[in-house]
Amino acid sequence: MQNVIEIRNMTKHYPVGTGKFTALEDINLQFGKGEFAGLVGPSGSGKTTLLNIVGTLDNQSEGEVAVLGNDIRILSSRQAADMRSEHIGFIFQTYNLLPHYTVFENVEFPLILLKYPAKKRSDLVMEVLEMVGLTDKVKSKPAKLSGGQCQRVAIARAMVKKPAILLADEPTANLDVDNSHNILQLMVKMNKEMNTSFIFSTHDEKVIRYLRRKINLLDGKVASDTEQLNNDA
Amino acid sequence: MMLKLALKNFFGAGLRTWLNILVLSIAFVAIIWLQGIFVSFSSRAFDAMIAEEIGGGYIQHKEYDPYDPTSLEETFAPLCEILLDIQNREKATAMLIYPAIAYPAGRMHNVTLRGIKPEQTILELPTEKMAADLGVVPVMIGSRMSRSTSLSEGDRFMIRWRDRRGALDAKEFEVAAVMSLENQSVDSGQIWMPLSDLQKMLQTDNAATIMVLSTEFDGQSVMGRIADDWILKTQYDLTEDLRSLIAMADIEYYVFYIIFLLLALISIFDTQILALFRRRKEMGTLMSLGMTRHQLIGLFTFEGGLYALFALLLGAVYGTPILIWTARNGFPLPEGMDMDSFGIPGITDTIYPDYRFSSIFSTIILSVIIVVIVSYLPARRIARLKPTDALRGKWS
Ligand SMILES: Nc1ncnc2c1ncn2[C@@H]1O[C@H](COP(=O)(O)OP(=O)(O)OP(=O)(O)O)[C@@H](O)[C@H]1O
Ligand SMILES: [Mg+2]
Repeated sequence: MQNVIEIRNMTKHYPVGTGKFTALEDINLQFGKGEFAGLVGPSGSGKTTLLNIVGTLDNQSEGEVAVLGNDIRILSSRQAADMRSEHIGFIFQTYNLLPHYTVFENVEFPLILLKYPAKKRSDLVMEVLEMVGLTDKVKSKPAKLSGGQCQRVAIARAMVKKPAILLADEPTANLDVDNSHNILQLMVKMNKEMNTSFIFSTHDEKVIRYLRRKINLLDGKVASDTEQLNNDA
Repeated sequence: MMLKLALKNFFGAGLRTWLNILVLSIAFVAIIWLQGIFVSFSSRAFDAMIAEEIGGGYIQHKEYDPYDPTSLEETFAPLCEILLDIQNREKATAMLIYPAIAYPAGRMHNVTLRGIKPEQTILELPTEKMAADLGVVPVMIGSRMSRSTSLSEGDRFMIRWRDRRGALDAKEFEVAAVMSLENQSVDSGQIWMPLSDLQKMLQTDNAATIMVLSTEFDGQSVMGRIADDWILKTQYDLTEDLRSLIAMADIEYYVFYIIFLLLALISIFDTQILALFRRRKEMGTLMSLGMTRHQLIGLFTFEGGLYALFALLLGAVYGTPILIWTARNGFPLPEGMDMDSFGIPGITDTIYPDYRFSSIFSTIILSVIIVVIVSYLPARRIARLKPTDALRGKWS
């Protein structure tokens, strides 16, 4: 089976003053279809940087990164946008919902970018809102929702297009224990049903327990990469 | 899609949006109002000049120079048969212009005497009032002249002038009428009197300085057949100074225009710039969802353009009745505001703004284009925004 993501000898520098800071160094990783993996490590270890590169929001400095068979370095900004629109879902620590849109409109938005017809959009939106249990909130604005509900809207928005890859950067950092488990169970369920590859960035023990693959990052390097048995899923 | 998102963002911003729209709409209405006044100023200035001073142009003595009063003693000549004939056919009226000194209430004023036939119909002046038999010479003055000399209807005063031999002569005049004139150059320092009386004072028959032509008469048709003492000055020649004055006022008008528009634009520009800083995370999110930079720039420009659109709608709602009312009823000039000091003749007490569809239309189009540009300029910066920086809420 082909990997959805292949990273070979990848390094990322950030310019700092006159010199440069190495945020990621010589990364070699592959992610297959339907994975449920997490990048785990202390603050500053390079988790977000790696997710951004994989998500075509940023470019590596050296080495190769292929996403769904595309070398991301040669993608134009337009092609990268299309790639994100079609195949990649993002979930952020701070939810990042569109404040003036209702729950329904927030979830519908990626489908509008994909130019789906209205009927198909509304069917898909209702289907995914059903999964995250928010059918009673379709007309609410984000300001009226709790943090857990917001994150469920964000998951619905990321998953409504059934992407190949879902990238979640510390999705539970702003949530309490109950909501965190809730969200994680939801994602485990979606991962199984849609065959989307999930990649987390986290240092939350609660999240780590759900992971089937745990990649430890330390100072921009892969310290360990282990399969683990998942009790909760 | 873009439209819906832009509208939602636009109205989601709340009070601030409405304040901006209000300011912009006030600027729009003020600009159109100002333009109406300006158009009215300039067209009335021309109308007044033609009606009260120049008619359809002059056939004038070739040495005549209105800016050199002392030369006026030499710049008249007898009218030939041809010129008398066009006067008889009411295609022109003769005017004799001569310098003098007036002594109203014992004070001395340099004045210009303008002799004209009381029965003339070429200039829109109440010259028939000088046909009155008062025992002394009946004259007319404008209201400005009346103020500066304290002369009013029925007042008598002495005039002295230098006759052809250079000796000073004197005569008594009576003010038969005070005219309300729009054009100050036929008012300040001017005394209108019957042509025949002035000719008698100068001991000439049929002499004149100028033939004021009717607007329907083509002066060129007689030019080959009269003595070369006379030259033709067309309406166009005579309005040259006024046209350059109005061109100057035009510049002043554009200065106001720019100030008004700038005030409005600053508020939009400010909102757009602020948005670029406050809404970075939103932009990053939209990029992560697959929106291209071009779409984002379009979105933000469009949101700015909505200000123009809604300001126009709002301005139309309250501006239309205001503009129509001022056009119909005019509005009085503030007390003590003298339009002569602006150098534009033609305005006395009440201004009726003159709104032309074409100028309203071009003003609106121009303003909307400027608003869109002002929205676009800050939005262009999005092109340099990296998605990762946007998500982190910072600019590179
Ligand atoms: N745009 C940037 N310019 C310079 N340095 C950066 C930039 N972005 C990240 N870094 C640096 O790169 C390193 C890795 O950052 P990254 O955000 O990937 O860490 P992280 O593992 O996600 O940390 P956290 O758990 O705090 O989110 C950090 O030391 C950070 O300071
Ligand atoms: Mg991070």
